[in-house]
Amino acid sequence: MAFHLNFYHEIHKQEERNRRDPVKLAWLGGLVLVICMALWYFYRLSEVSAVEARRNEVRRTWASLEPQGKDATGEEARLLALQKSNEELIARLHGRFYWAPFLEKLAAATPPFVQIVSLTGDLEAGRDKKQMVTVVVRGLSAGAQPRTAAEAYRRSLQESLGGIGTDISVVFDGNSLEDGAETVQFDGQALATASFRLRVQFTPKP
Amino acid sequence: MKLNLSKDQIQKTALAAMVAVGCLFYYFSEMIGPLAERETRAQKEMAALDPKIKKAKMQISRTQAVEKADPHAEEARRVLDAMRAKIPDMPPVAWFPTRLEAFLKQKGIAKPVFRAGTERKDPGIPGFEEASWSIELPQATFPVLGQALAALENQEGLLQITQLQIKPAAKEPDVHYAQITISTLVKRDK
Repeated sequence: MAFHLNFYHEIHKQEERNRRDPVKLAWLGGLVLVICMALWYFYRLSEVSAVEARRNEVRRTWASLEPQGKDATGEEARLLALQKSNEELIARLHGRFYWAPFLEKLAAATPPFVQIVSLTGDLEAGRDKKQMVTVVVRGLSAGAQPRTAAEAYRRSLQESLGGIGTDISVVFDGNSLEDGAETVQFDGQALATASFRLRVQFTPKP
Repeated sequence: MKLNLSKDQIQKTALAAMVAVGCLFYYFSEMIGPLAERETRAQKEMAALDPKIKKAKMQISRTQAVEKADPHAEEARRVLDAMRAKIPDMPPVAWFPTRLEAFLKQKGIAKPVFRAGTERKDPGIPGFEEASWSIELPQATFPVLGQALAALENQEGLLQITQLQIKPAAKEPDVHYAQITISTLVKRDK
């Protein structure tokens, strides 16, 4: 059996002691832990900084939007009121009733054997802002059959108003169609007369 | 493995452990903890501001939509500009009869009599009110009156004849007596 002598046994023992030195190991472990903790801290710091940067951006956005939003709220109310008043103005402008075309139709529909004595017209606006025209026409009709002539006039007037209104009603007001006592000279003939009062009502076309 | 530690080593180890615990406490309470708090605070603030920002943006876009949605804006602006230019800055009694009298005279109708209506209405148009006038035309013939009314209605866009009465004049059957009631817009008294 070969005899083996290790002259370095003390050095080896020392190395072994050094390798297992718990203090050294603890220092190493602590160092690794500190490095990990530092890395984690900087990682979290960058995360938080990113969140704060986003928050600052949101703050800036809000700082610029808040006054704009407040202004927009006031502006919306003002615009809505303006829109309403514009609507009123345009409705007033376009929804007017023109009396001249009515008078023109009335004159054109009146034959020579009918004379208008007077007329009274009213333009009324209902609750729904729908306008209604009421005209009372007082007149005389002449002819062999003056009442028939007045009825013919009533019908022709009703037809002629179709262009300017809807829901047209042309009726003798009460029992206003009456034979007149006097006669009139028309084309050299003495013609009997009838007096009448026509109530004309219609809704003007816009 | 059994550790054969000397007294000195044990003392050092205990001291090191205490320092480590202190460092750990400091690390979490003074470094990591405040970071988490800052993050939470920032996120809470963003969560609170986000709905406000959305609401403000919606309000702004809604206002813009309202502004664009007015179909009458352009026409109304033109009409209002024309009205402001046409209606003098004085009480209507100072200018309306004069202006209309000149107009009627030009159309061949003389001696109109003006009466201001007492009722003033709010037509819903800012800066304006509705005034009514009763006008007697004692010397008018039907054709002249018809033409004058047509011209008046065409010239005065916001004037509305609300009542009209035509009858023979008492003394001259060939001449007509007419009475018209007009409502028109005038500038509101300041």
